[in-house]
Amino acid sequence: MPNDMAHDNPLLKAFGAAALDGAPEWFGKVTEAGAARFAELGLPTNRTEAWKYTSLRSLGGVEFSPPAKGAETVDIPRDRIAGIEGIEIVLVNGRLDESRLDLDRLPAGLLVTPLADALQYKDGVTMHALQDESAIDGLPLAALSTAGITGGVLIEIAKDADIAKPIHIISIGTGNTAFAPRNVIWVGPNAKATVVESHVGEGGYFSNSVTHVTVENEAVFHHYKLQNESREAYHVAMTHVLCGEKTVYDNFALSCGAKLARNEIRSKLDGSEILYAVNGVYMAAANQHLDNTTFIEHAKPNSESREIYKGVLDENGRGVFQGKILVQRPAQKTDGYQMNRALLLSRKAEIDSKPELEIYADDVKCSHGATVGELDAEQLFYLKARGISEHDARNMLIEAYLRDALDEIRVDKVARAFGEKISDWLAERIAREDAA
Amino acid sequence: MALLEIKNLHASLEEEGKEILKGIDLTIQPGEVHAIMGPNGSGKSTLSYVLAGRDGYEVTEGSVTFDGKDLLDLEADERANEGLFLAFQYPVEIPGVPSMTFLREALNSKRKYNGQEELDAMQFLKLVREKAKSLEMGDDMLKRAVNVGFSGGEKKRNEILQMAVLEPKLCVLDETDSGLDIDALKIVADGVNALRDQGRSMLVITHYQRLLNYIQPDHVHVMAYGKIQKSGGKELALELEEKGYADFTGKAA
Repeated sequence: MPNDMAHDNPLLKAFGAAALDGAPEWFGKVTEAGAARFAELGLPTNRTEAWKYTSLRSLGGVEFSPPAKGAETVDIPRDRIAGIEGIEIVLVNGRLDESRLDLDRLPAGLLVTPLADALQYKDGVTMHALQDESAIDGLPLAALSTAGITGGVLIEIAKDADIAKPIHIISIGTGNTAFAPRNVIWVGPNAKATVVESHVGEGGYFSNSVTHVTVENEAVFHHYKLQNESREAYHVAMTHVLCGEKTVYDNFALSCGAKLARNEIRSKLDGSEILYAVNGVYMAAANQHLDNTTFIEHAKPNSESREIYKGVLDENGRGVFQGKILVQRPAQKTDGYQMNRALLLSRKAEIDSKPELEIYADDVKCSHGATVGELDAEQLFYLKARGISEHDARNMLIEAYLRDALDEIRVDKVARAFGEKISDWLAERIAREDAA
Repeated sequence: MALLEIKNLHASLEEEGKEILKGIDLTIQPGEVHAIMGPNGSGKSTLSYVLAGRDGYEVTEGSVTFDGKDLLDLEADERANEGLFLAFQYPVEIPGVPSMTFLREALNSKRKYNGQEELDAMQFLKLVREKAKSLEMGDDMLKRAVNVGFSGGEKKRNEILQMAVLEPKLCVLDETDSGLDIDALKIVADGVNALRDQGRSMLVITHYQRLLNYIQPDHVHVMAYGKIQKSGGKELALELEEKGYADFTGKAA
């Protein structure tokens, strides 16, 4: 809906007011371009093809306020974030809490720079990422985010470095703030690293982030995300991934929080012999809407992409899966696999699945599928016939179904930490049933 | 007192309303082994499902008393915890649920139901190993998810091991011999025989006589058209082997 009124959009005002202090001139142009693009595209509704199942119309009527100018320091809700021992980077309402960032104690080969400082580097990774217009083209929420970037970090892994400890980005939202974190991750040639994101908070805030990931040749990057936001919050996240020759990129998103969430990952496999995976689990209960949207572009021959999402939808929870694989003409011998499985636990639950393949090369192996089901009646009866109550039997089967997906996470301690969150979700579900 | 007393049991398929059981009468005393034989479609498996409490069947008439209680009044899990065990014709695969977790959950459900203390992981492991050993079975199956990737024989052996752990009062063996070669059949029958004792009763449901060469019944019943048509001793099984079910169905089975 391009119109002049969009410039007066209260969302744009909330985001626009948050601009970083002391940023160089080129950055001002980037935010202006973001604002202009959002004004042109407008807030997406179901009439926008890419947002067909996730309308943001309701967001237009919600009033958000910009975050405080300086970073606030709040307690980290340890029971809500992923329980891993990592190098912590804390963002509060999209502002980097520098008081918690101990830059002197980082392992060799890992460089973390506050975004505000990184903007000062001419021709750096950050500038390159932010000036890339394809990161906002046709992407209204990424454009809105760009209009009011609130802060973030540049994470650089030096060539050949192997950072064993996970880097843990913790984003905490409060009140009715609208904020736009921007993290830029660069994994140098032949480097290895793991980044875990935890998104948590309290209130009806709106987190609208963009993350840029560049994986240089022969690097291995594990990228995991826990979306455990407040149940009143809105969470929209865009991750742009660029993979080079012989890289390994492995993404897993566990989504259980927020009132409305969209986790979108757009990747370009710009090399051969890439092993790429995006996987995830989503668990929605009453009044939750969880959207996973992925776009994978195979640009060169001989790479492999795997995608497995599993969802559980309880009460009137709603899930959306949109996955597209684009195989360009030169990308012969591409091996692509995509699957979305959803388990409906209630008659009011809903899932919309839209897998898509667009293939221009003639020698490829690509498949996709989607399944929707309820708990298996045969399995339930078998468990009950062994003395296990209906209630326990159902929960055993749900847990088995969800835990099975954790095998896709290649870092054991992260798999365990995410497993705990699945257990928490199931315990809440059991408590809800017991109370009913 | 009889362990199981079925009186004039009528049951239908809930969805189609089709009557399958048309007045079953059967009494089993503690320690007795009964065999029910019959052609396909006679209602044998339905009887086992109705006893175990599977959804989808409606009892329209009659009663079932198990160990003094109204069995039909209990949920499937309660029936199991009261001591009724159905060995499945087709044991179900449950990916993602480890066999150990499943069996411990089953045993502890029963212990809890009967006011006994639950076993912890170590106590349980010890118990399972003993049971497996007494049946001359390995416990390697227990390292996998429930029945996942098991051969037909392994699945049936797993049923017997579960039976040994849960120590039921009544075992209903539904076509336990189906899909087994003679060696597997013998292993399973040996397991069942090892579990025979004075307090435990068995109801062996089978189409063929061959299982009864290994598990010797005290009583044999012929079922057809949803009713028990004839009852006798084990010689009745041999008679059926010779003549088939023609006398009961009007055609050769």
